[in-house]
Amino acid sequence: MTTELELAQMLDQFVDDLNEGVIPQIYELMASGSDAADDLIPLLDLVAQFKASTVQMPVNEKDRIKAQVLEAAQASPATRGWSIRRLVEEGDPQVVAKSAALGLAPTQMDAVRSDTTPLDLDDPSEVVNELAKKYKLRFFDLLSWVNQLISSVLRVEANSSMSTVYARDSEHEGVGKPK
Amino acid sequence: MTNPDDHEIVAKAQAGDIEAVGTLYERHSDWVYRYALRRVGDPEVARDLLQDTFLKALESLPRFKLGHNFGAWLNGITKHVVADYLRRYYRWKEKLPDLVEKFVGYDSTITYCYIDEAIDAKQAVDQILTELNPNHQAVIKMRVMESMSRGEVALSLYGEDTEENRRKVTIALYKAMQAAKKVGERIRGSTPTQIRDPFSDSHKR
Repeated sequence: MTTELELAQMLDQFVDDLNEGVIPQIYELMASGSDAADDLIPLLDLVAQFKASTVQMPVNEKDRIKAQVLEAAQASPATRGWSIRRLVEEGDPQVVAKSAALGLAPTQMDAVRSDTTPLDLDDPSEVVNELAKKYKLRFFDLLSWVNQLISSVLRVEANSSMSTVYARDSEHEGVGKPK
Repeated sequence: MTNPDDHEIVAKAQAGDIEAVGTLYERHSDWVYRYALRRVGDPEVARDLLQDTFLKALESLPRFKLGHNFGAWLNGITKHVVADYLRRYYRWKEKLPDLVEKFVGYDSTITYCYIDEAIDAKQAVDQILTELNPNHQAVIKMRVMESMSRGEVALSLYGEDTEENRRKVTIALYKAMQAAKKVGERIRGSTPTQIRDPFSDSHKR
């Protein structure tokens, strides 16, 4: 059985680690499945809360990370407001025209094509399922059309980013081959 | 959702509004950073984890269901990111050991308050500190908040830096933290804020 002194020493070691700004050694103890560490969890968290309350992230670091996050947001298709409407606007017209094969009435077709529900290009199925119910369409037909639109849009994106890499390589290395 | 403004901002971010993404970062980055710091101890690593958390959140943003608690959802992502880091750091291949997972996932009610009410972390711990007796306050302030060594605290509290006095400091800190835990439980028991378990609804992904 772990004594009070041993528990106190574990907590104290945790404080040392936090004070030194290193990954706490207590994780090794936890990995061994020590029951003592289990009892300490609320106290460890509270100690860490006290410690963290004294630490302020440097403003320049906070801003630097924010800039990286915003840059990623601009570059990420997932956060660039994709919707069926935008896919229709930017996708291959031949694929867009296939919506007729969904068996939609013209007014229904207009509604689907102008739908602005946010769509995750990596995983559109959940939203498509909702839209299929909304517009009374067969899920797999709609998903197939949306996936074809996504493919056509991504093909265009891939081509344009390849051009950027090509240009950069040519500029810096004098080599006219894309990576 | 306690922070009603999040709803509108998240919707804008989902629609591709970059400024809205920036607003979410400004609102939530401090507690995400502090949460990561509480688990990894190293400020530089905590900053990396803050960035990873927001990048993962961006990836998953289209799947976030409006009306749910954005802070609780982000809290779930933060824990995944921290757990993943510890897994790699310690080379635990399959999964985190149970206790480590429990610690990474542990949220005191104070944490919920940060997330739901955007309460300043210092304000929350100050409230606990003021209710402790002077001895408990002193040892927590010196040892934890001012990063003093055991020897320095022993000298300050007991007049001499000896092994015996260092041991006294170790025990005193343990008892002070137990007292702080009780005060924290009492405060949150009487707080008018309705404390909810964010894991009951929205962070499940």
